[in-house]
Amino acid sequence: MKIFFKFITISVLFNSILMCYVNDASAKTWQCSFKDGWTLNQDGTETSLSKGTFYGTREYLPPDRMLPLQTHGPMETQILEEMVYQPVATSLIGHAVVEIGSMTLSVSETLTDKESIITVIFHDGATKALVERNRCTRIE
Amino acid sequence: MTKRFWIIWVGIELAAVFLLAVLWPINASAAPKWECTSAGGWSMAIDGRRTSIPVSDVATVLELSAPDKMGVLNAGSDIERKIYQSMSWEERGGKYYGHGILREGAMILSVSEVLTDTGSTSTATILGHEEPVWAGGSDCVRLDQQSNLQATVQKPKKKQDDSFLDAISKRDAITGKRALNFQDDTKSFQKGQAALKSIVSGYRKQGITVFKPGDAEYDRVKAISERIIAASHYANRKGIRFEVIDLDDKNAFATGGGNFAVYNGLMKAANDDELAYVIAHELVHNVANHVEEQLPMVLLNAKRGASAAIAYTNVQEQEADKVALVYTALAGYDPCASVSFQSKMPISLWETTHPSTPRRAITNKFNCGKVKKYRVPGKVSPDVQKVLQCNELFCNKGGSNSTVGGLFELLTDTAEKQLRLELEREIQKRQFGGN
Repeated sequence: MKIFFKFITISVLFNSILMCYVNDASAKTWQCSFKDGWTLNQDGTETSLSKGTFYGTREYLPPDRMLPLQTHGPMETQILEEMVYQPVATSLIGHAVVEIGSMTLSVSETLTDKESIITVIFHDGATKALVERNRCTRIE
Repeated sequence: MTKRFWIIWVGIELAAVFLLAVLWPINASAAPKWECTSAGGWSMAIDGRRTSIPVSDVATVLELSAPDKMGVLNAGSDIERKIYQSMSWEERGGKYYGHGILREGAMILSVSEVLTDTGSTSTATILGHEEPVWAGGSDCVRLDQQSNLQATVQKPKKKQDDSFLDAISKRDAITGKRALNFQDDTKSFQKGQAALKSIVSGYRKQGITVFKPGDAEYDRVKAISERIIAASHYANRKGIRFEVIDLDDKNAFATGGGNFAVYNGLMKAANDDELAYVIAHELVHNVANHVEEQLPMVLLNAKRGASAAIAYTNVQEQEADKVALVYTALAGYDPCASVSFQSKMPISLWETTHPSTPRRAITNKFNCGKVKKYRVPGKVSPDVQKVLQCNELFCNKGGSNSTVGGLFELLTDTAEKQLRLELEREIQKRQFGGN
């Protein structure tokens, strides 16, 4: 019985150390701010997105999730929580189909250490799609 | 007994195989299949410059391959075929949402697409490419639901005979797309004129003055209107009629077909630039057939209630504001006077038949900055026709898919608008406990 408890204790300690190491090695946090963006309208025209100064912060949770730490609001939080990411070369590429109220959006993000490009497809409505570029920095 | 059991079992097996054989082709042929042609879009360079993607006649034919892949029966290029092969799809509410990541040499593509039976919208982000972002749309037709249509691999689309559509639905002068307007221009003008005459005669009976040529008020509107009309889609149209009514209301209205009226109260409050914007706004209601397009409003009112109908006119008002800024600038007036004008009007904080005053002011401020470059101060721009064809705020591209028109886009916008209205009412209800 004693041996069993020793085994459990050692296992828990070992796994805790391993988790700390893994988290430390792969924890990636970004701070991003809006750079520029445009819509593709139904009539084929484009419109510039209005500029903002807000910084959003999020942390990559391996293997495929992103934890929103600071966002523009509940809509961005919901989108980030539903995105599924995949590391590709030096970037993270995320996709999601998100339902907000009666709208269904197709969202994608390509995130590097310097930039994030977000695309949103509305398909219906005056705006077909939008593309937003954000300046990003890694926070260690 | 054992023999009998085996005979029955074999019989059941054979029946099952037979049923499967009969049903399999039905299932196989029921796979959704689309034919899509590019309707254009834009690509963006690293420095932010955008380049238009041309409209194409080369058809891409796709077939859903359960559970989540799309078979490519025809594609314009190898890279397009590879992109579709990399994508996974899911169906939600009759729409198909696809995502994929493709590595092609040093490039990494992230592609998203939303596909419906009438069109698709797609975006692509390309790491390692000089144009890292693409956004575009396609016109699509569903092939498997058309018994007399087979997949037309590499067959260019036939130019559609529009004579029937032209007879029942004319093209919107502003966007070039179809509108649900069953009246021809002559009838629209006659009806608009009759309505205006009736209103004016009603005022006269009440003893209210309706200004005549030679009166300062009438001549002021005439001088401004002439320049606005010359800078509008009605530049070559004769018989445009207006009335100036001596009422203190800060208002103006259009009755359709090129007929409108301005109240003296508004004229007293507005300088010439502001009045030019108001006249342009009313002229747009005429040009865009907002008065004639009453049928959808009646339908909306009956089907979805008054709020839907209100939202419909709200969208029309936004369109009138936007196009009016272009007319105002092209006529040589200051389009940004539309912002100062809002401060002189009664303030509405809520979205009703008209957008809220703050939103109109903010939107006009944003848009007027874009169109003021078209202004030649004090006179009508020589580039009217060119600018009206395509400018910073709208583009007349015609309708590559002539069964879908500006009206249906408007209705879609209306649905969004209605949602917003409902949300705002809900917020109002929660905040103030009212209805």
